[in-house]
Amino acid sequence: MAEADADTQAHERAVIIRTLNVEKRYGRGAATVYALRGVSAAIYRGELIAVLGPSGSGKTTFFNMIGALDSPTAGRVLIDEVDVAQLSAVELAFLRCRKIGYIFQTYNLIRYMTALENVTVPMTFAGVPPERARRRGMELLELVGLADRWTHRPIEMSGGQQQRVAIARSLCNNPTILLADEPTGNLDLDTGQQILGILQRINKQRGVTIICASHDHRLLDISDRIMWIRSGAVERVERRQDVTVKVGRIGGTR
Amino acid sequence: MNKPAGKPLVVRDQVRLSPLRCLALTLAGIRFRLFRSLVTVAILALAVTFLAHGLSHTLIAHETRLLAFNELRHLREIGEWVARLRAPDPRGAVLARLASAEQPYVAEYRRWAGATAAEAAAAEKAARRLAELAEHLDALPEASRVILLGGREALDVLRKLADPKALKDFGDRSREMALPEPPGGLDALGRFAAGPLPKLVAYTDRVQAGHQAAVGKVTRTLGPRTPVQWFAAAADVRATLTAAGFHVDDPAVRRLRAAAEHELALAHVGAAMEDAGVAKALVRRLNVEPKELHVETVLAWLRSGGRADWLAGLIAPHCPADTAAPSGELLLAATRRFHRQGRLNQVVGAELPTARGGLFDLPTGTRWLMVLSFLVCAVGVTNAMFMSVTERFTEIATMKCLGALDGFLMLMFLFESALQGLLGSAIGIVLGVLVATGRGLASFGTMVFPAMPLLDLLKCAGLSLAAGLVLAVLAAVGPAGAVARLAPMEAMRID
Repeated sequence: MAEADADTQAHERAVIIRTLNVEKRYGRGAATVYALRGVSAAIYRGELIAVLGPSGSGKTTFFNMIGALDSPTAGRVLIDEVDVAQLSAVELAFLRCRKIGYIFQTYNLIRYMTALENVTVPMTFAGVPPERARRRGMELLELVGLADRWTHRPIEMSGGQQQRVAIARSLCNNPTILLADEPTGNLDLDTGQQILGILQRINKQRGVTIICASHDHRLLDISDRIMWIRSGAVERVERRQDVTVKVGRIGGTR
Repeated sequence: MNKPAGKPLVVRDQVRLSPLRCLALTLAGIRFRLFRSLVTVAILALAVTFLAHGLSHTLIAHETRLLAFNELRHLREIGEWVARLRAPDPRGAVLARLASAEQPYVAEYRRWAGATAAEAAAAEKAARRLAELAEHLDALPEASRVILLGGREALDVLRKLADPKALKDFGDRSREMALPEPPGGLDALGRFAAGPLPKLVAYTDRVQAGHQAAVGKVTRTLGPRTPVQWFAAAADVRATLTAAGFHVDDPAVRRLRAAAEHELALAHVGAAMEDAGVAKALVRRLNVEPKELHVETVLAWLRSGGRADWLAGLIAPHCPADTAAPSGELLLAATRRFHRQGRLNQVVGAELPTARGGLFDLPTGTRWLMVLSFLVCAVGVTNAMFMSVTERFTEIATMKCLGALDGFLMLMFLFESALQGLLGSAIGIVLGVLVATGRGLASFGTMVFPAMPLLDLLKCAGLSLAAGLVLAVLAAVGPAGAVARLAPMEAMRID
C-alpha cells in the first residue's frame, strides 16, 4: 500500500537524474573489477535522497557517474533528461561549475589555496567578479562556522574544518543538484547537526536536489527516500516513512 | 510535501575567462607554491647552464685559439721569410695555395710564372680539381689505396692516367675492388690527366723557376749577411723584395725588422753565454746550478728592466765589434716575444684552428659535444617540468570538477611553464657563459677577452633561451593538456 503510494507520487514528480543500466568496470579480461554492475535509478527533482551501502559497494563511483565526473563503461546517465555523454566539454564545465555542487569524500581542496580561495574557485570559473566572489565566499564560510579561519590553508585545518570548507565551496554557485559524499563523516555531533540543518534548509527552501551518502541516522531522518547499494547494484529504494520505524526499533537513539 | 518543485536545470556553455584573468590566477598560484616553483626554476637553470656553457665554451675556446694562431703566424713570419729567401716553395705548397687561392701567394706565383690572368685562373681551377681527386683517393680503404697507388703520390698516379691504357687498367682495378667512382667519372678523370694536369704541372715548374730567380736576386743584394741580419739593419728590404716579385707591405717590413732585432739580441745572449766569465756571473746572479744554465733559464728569469739592463751590461763586451750591442730594453722586448710565443703555442695546441664559416662550423668532435649538451639539457628540462606537472594532476582534476575548461587549464600551465622557462633559461645562460668564461680564463688566461665572440655568444644565448623555453612549455603543456582532456575522476586516478 505504502509502496504504491510512493510510486504514484514518484510519477507525479519530474526526474532530474536518471541512470540506465550504468556499468563501470576497471581493468580488462580476467582482471576486470566491477564497480557498478547495471544501476538503473531515478532521482526526483527537489528530493533529498540518502544513499547507503557498505564501503566498496560503489557509492562513490555512482556519485561520480551522476555528477558527470566520470564516464560509464556501459549504460547512460541522463541529467534533466539530457544524456551526459552528448554534452560538449564546454557544457560539461558549465554543468559541473554551476548546476552541480560536489562535496567529495576526500574533500579535494586545492593544497596551496586558503580556505576563502578554495571556496571562490568555482565562482572564478563562473566569471563572478573577484570582489563579489570574496563577499559570497565569506558569507558561506560564516555559514559553516569558519569565518575566522579564512586565511588558513587546508594543511593548517583539521579534517572536519576541511570538510566544512568543501561544503561551503559546493554551495557557492547555488547549484541545482548537490552531491554529498559523507558530508558529516568527520564532524562532531553539533557541527554535523549544523551542516545537516544547512542541507535541509537549502533542500526545503531552494528546492535543491540533494543526493547524500551517509551513515548518519539524523540524515536518514530528514531524507525523503533511502537507496541501498550493495556490490555495485541498487538493492532497494524505500521511502523514509517505511524506514524510520526500523531505525527506531534497531538503533533506538531517538 | 510542501517543497518547491525544484529549480529547472538549464545547460549552457561555460564562460571563457580572459587570458589576463588566467595569468592573474597563475601568478597567484606561483606565489602560493613559490618554493616548489623556484626548485623547478633552479633545475631548469641548471640544465640550461649546461647547454649554454657547452655552446659558449666551445665558441670561446675556438675563437681564442684562432686569435692566438693568427698572432703566432705574425710572430713566426720571419721564419717563413727566411725559408722563402733560401729556396723556392715546394710543389706541394704551391699546389695547395693555388687550390685554396690563398693571397698574396697566388699573385706572387703569377708574377714569377709570367702568366696571363687566364692561365693563372686555369691553373687554380686545375689545382682545385687535383685537390678534390687527391681527397677522393685519400678516402679509399687503406688496402685498395696501396694496390691502386703503390705508395706513389696522387699527383704522380694521376699524371700516368693520361695514357688510355693506364686509365683503362685503373678503371678495371677500381671496379674489381668495387671502389666508388672518382668524382666526375672515369672519362673526365682521363681528360683531366691528359689536358689540364700537365699544364698545371708546367705552371708550377714555371712558378718554382721564377721563385728561384727571385731568390737569386735577393741573395745578390744580401752579400755576406744572413737574411735575419739584413731584415734587422737594411733600409732597402721592401724595395728589394718587391723588385724580386715578392709581396710585402710596410707593416710587414716593420714586423720583420722587430722580429729580426729580437732574434739577433737573443743570439747575442746565447753567444755571450759561451764565455766562462759571463756564465759564472749568470750562475751567481740567477742562483742556479752551472749545468742548468741555458738561454731558456736566463729568459725565464729576465722579467724586469733592471735585470735586462744588468744583462745588457754583462754581454756588451762580448758582442762582435761590427754590430751594436743590444740594449736592456731590446733584450726585455725580445724576451717578451719569446714568452709570448711559448704562451701562444700552448693556447693554440696541437690542432690548428681554422676560421668558422657559420655559428657551428666546427670540427665534428666539438659539434658532437654540443649535440650532447643539448640532449642533456633537453632531458633535464623535460624531467623537471614533468615532475612539477605530474604532482599537480589531482589539482587539475579538482579544478575540472569545479568547472574549469580544458583550454583554461592548459593556458595556466602554458603561462606558468613559460615564466619558469624564461627565468630558468635566463639564469642558466648567465651562469653558463660565466662558467665558460671562467674555464677559458683558467686554460687560456686573459687572452679570452679580446677573443670573446660577443655576437656569436648572443646567438648561443638566444638558442639556449629558445631551447629552454620551448622544451619547458612542451613538457608542461603536453601532459597537462592530456590530463585535462580526461574525465575529472579518470585524471584523479592517474597518480
